[in-house]
Amino acid sequence: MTPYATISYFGFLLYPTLPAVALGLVGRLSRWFVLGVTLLMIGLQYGLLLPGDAAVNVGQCWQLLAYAAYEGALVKGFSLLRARDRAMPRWAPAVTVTLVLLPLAAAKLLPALHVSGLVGFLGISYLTFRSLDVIFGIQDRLIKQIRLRDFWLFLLFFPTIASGPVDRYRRFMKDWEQKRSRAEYLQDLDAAVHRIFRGLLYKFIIAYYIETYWLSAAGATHTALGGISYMYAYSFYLFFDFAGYSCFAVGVSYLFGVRTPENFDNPFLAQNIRDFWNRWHISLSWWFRDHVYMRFVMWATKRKLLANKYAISYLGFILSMGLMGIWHGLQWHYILYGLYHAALIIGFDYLSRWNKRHKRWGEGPVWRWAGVFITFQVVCFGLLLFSGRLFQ
Amino acid sequence: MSVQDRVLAVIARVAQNDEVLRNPDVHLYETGLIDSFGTVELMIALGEEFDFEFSPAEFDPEAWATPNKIAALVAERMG
Repeated sequence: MTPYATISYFGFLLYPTLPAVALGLVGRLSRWFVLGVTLLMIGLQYGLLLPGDAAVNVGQCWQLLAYAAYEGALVKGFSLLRARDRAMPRWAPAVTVTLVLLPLAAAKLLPALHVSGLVGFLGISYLTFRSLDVIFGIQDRLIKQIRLRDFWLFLLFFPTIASGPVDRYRRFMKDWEQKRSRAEYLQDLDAAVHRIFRGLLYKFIIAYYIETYWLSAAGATHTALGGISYMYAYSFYLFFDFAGYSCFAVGVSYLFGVRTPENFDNPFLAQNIRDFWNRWHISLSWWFRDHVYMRFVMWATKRKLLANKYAISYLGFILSMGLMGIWHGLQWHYILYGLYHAALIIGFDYLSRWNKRHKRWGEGPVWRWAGVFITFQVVCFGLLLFSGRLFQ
Repeated sequence: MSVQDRVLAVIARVAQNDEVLRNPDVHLYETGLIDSFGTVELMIALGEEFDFEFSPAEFDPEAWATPNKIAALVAERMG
C-alpha cells in the first residue's frame, strides 16, 4: 500500500508507533528496533505481508531487498578500500559511483527500450541519492567506518523511503549517537503530532479540494485562459500534495527518533529563484548543491578547466539542474524543466551582478514583493512545463 | 598572525570585501557576501592556506554562516 495515502495505512502505522513512543519515553528507542519496524513496514508497503493489494507488486519488495544488499556490498567494499594505507586506485571512485547508479539507470532506461517491470521499485531514486551521499562521504574521508546495520537503517528508514526527504548519513547518525531524554522525546512527539496534522490539512483537505474542484475542471478546458488556470491549479496542487506528504514523512520520522530535515519552507514566498531553491524540495536541491554543483566547481576550479569563474559556475548550474530534471524521468518535459531552471538561476546571477553596478533594482518592501510576484510567476510556468501538459 | 586572523584574511580576499575584518559575526549568506561558488573558492583557499582539504560534502550553511564560525571549523580541523 502507498505510504500516507489511505486511512488503512495510518491504521497499520499505529501498531509500531505505540511501542516506539513507549520506548522513546523511557529512552530505549534503539536502532535494532527501528530497523525491525522498517523491515516490517517495507513488507507491508510493498505488498509482501498483505498480498492482494492491487497498488503494489510483490516483486518490488524482493527487488528492494536485493538492491539494499547490493548497495550495502558496494558501500562496505568502498569503505574498506578507502581505509587501507595504500592510495586507492584512480579508477575506483568513478567505477563505484557508476555501479551505485546502475540499478537506477536500468530502471529509467529499460522502459525506454520497451522492457518494463524488470527493474524498479517505488523510491529507487531516493535510495540512490542516499547511497551516493555515503559514497561521497567515504571518498572525502568524512565517514571513516560504516556498519552495515547503520547503512541499511539510513537507506531503508521507512518513513522517508518512498519520496524523501533525502537525509544525509552523517546528520542521520548524529540522531542515534546522542542519548535523548524524556523531555526531548516529548518535544519531538509534539513536533511529530504538529506535522502530521499539517500533513492531513495539506494533503487530504487542501490538495484534495484543489484537485476535485479546480485542477480537473481546468484540465478539461482547451482555451488559453484555461491553460493559465491549469498552471496555477497544478502548482498549488503539487505543493500541497507533496508538502503534505513531506509533513507526514518528517512527523513519523520524529516518532521513530530521527529528526529528518524539512523539505518545504513557504516556497511561493521566495523573493528570487535562488531563494526558491532554498525553500522548495529543499533536501533534493541541497543534495544537488553539495554533491553536484559544489563538487563540480571544486573539481573544475582546481584543474583550471576554464579561465572564467562565472563560466565554471554556470556550467555547474546547467549540470546540476539538468541532472535534477532528468532524474524525474527521461521525458522531454523533465529535461526542459531542469534546463529552464538552470537558465533562470544563471539569468538571475547575471542580473544581480549587473544590478550591483547599476543599482536599478532597489530595496524595501515594494521591491521585495515585486520579487515575490515575479518569482511566483516564473516558478508556476516551470511547473506547467514539468506537468507535461504543453507536450500532449 | 593567529589562525583567526588568517581565516578572516582569506575570507576577505575571496569575498572581495573588508566587511568581514570589521565584523567577524556578519552572516555571509544572508548578506550575499558569499554564495555557493564563493564557498568552494573559500574551501580551496583555506585548504591552500592551512594545507588540508575541505570537501563540499561537509558543507553545512549553519556551520559556515559567519567568519567566526568558519574560523572555529578550521581550528577544529587543525586541532
